[in-house]
Amino acid sequence: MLTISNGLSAAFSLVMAPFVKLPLTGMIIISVLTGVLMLIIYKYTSNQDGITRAKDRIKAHFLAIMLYKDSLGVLLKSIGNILRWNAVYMAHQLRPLAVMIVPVLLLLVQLNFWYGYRPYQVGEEAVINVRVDKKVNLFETPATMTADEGVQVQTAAVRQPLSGEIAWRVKALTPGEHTLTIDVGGQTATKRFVVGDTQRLVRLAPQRHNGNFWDGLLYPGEKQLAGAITVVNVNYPGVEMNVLGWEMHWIIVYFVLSILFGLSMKGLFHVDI
Amino acid sequence: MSRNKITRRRFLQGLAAGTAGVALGCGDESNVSLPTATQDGTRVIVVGFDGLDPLLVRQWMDEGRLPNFSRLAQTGGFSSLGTSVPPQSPVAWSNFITGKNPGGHDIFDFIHRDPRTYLPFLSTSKTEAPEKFWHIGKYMIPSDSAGVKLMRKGKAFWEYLGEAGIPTTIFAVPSNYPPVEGPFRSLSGMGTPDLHGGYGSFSYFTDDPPQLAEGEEITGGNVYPVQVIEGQVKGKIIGPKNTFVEVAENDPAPDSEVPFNVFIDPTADTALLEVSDEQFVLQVGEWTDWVQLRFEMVPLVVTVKGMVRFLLKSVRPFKLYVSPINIDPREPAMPISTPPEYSAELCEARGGPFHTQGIPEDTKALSSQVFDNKEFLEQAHSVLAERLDLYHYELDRFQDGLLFFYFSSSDQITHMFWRTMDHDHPAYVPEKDEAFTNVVRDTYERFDKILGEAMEKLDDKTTLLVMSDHGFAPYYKSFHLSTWLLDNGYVKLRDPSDRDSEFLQNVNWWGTKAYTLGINSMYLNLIGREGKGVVGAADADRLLDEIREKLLQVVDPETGRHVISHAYKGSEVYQGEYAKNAPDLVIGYARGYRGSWETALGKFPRGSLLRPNTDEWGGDHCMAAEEVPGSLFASKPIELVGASLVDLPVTILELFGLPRPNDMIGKNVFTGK
Repeated sequence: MLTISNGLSAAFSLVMAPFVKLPLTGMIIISVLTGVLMLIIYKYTSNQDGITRAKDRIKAHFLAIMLYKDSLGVLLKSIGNILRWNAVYMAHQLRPLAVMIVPVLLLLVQLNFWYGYRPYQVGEEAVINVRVDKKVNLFETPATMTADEGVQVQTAAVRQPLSGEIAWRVKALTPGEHTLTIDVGGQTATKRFVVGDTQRLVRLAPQRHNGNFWDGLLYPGEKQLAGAITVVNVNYPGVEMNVLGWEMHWIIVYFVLSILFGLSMKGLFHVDI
Repeated sequence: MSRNKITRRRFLQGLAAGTAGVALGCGDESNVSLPTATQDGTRVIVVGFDGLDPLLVRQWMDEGRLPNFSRLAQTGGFSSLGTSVPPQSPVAWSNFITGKNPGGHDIFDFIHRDPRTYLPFLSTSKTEAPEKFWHIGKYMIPSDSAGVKLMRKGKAFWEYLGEAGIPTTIFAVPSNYPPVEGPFRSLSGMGTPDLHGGYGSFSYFTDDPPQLAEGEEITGGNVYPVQVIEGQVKGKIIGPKNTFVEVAENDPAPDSEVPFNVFIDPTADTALLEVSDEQFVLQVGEWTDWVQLRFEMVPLVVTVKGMVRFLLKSVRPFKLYVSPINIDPREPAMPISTPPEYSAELCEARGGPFHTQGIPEDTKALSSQVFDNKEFLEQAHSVLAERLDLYHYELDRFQDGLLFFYFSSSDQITHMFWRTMDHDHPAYVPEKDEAFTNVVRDTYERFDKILGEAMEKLDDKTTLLVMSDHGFAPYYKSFHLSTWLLDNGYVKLRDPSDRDSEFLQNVNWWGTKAYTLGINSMYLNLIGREGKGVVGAADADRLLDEIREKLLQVVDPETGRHVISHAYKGSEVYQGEYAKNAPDLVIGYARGYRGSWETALGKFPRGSLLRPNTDEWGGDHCMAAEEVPGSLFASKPIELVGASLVDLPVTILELFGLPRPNDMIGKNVFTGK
């Protein structure tokens, strides 16, 4: 999973490269591609005949309701049949949805790195959280953080021995990609820390980790940690998308656009939804 | 304790009762369009430095420390500026705002009393609780809006400017909460409460609570003892009373609260603070920026937002200061600006929120030893830094009309650091205060730079006025006026052994001829006006004369100096529609003396009538008006001899060519007429 996810990260970076200065255009292109991908998946994983039949039956029973609205028996029977065929229709959706959910989840993870966060701005302060292996005795083990010239480490570590966590405060000094170096009892780890322009799209990975399944799925992109330091977290500020002057979460924009593009192209791909 | 007994805490809680309800009716955007230009391009800038003292300014101008003040005095004018009777900020600024004396604007003291019940209330604003509710489960949701009412009467001078279409911005003038509405921009100043509805109450979480002597109490905040367990501290910030929860008639509404956690490093002086889904790593001595707190009153329906700053004073022992909960100007829970969106616009301009509490410098924390000198100064400087951001924003965009901008630091810093520059002061402790000898002077020098920036705007169409509401004097000794009235037989107590009950709760009114409440106010217990009056109208004048004569004879046995230099009869010094509400006697203390805090709160302290003031609050102005005039600088020659606060609104209106309203009693300082 981690390999797929990291591969996707690299592919996504290539796709997004032309759009770093055009976030909305990038989102539209991704939504079009998503719409096409979903249509193709839907076409080949769903029972198209079954779906067509279920929809036809539903339409027929609606027609019966209109024609025989004075006949209570027909009316009740038609309503029952609408519900039954609707259940059949929903059942036909399960397989394509089960197949789609995997690529959609991976896409959402990738999109969140591009659209979900913004880099720190010059002068802004950040809290860096680190988790260490429970075997490390933080009562006695020193912890330090250093950074390159673009970042100032402002505090000594706050070690929380019971939870195995450590925190520092840093301040962004100059734009660019910087490296934080953490040393816990001689074991070291680094983490990318981005300071920069909030108008440009930048891929931001809030977490570097030691590669367990879920962390690998949710936070791909940086090399796995090894040793006692298991997670390094940079809490990049969340950001909303500006769509024609409206601020909204990117996921709303993404789903609305993907669905609209998918629906508008279903005839082109001969897909019955 | 009797059933109706009111404590100071309950008094303040009462003020806060409507806070949450007010939040429901707040935040609507205004549809009023603001004027953009005058016809002839006239511009007036008024910079208000609260408490800027003319003697100190003169001294430091003579020493060459205030070049901009000196230049303005040479090219225009400089004089002392007559203040109000009494020279308290809400009273003085109301004189400035309305062009009337207190008889016309109805603000006579920080604290007023209801003559029928003798109960005190804050003079400048009143929160009115909603009357109708929907009852849903354990909650009661107001169906009509609660309101905050400005108690100052009389029209503000900028209302005339707004009516005349003159662009006007009024930044944080005191005695303007809630701000009057109209076609202008204004942010409320002194008088704006914290989220509890009072003048500001800090929270202090510690595992080493201060050891207080018997009868001693920490005022202005609450101390919460906490325990450090395995490097972790858990606490709750207490918010406004949740008046949405239905309770039995005599039960208090429950507190709203926001929890927080602090994790302390095992050896280093650092800690991680977690509050409201945010994290802050702090070293000892560091502050957080503003943290928004959301107090949930009715789940998913009503949330009241406020904001605080934390100071990690120490980790071993643990000491965490939390500022009073300020109204968040981004989403104000109570009305603090006109138009309502102006406060959010100011946040946008400076890239973050700012103190909105009317008196933002936390003097009580210093007086209570929760702050030391350095910490107080840091906090006061942060207030000033925010103000400067907003000053630059307003000054940069100022093109036309009137800009009034207010700075509080001169007042609050002089209150707290007079003792450090006056080495004869009873509160001066060389070991801790010597390094702070020049704090007041440094503040005046900063103001000189601020003035210089306003002077850069001067041209032939621009007039600059720099003014203060009063000056300053040392506060060496406190006089227990209440005890003096008791000792002289004018007050009778129900229980003579109880001298500490606040707000006159222990007074036997049927045996009391005169009483005092507030810092300078004294009242007769008049038949027909007071609820249990005993003094007839025919005896009132004679009694007042008798008390006045006796008070003017009070002498400090240590120095031989008179303690009181003036005692003004309300009927003689106030004119106007509301003069009937005035105190009967306003006490004008001589330089160096002031009414004690206990007197202001209606207690009757034992012992000597005069007590050396060892409080950090070592400078003051609640004395005779003649002792503490304010300052007036202008970019044009000042022709009026003996100018006073009520002259300024007349002057400003006439600079814009507007007629002088009939009820303003002042003159034009530039024409002398």
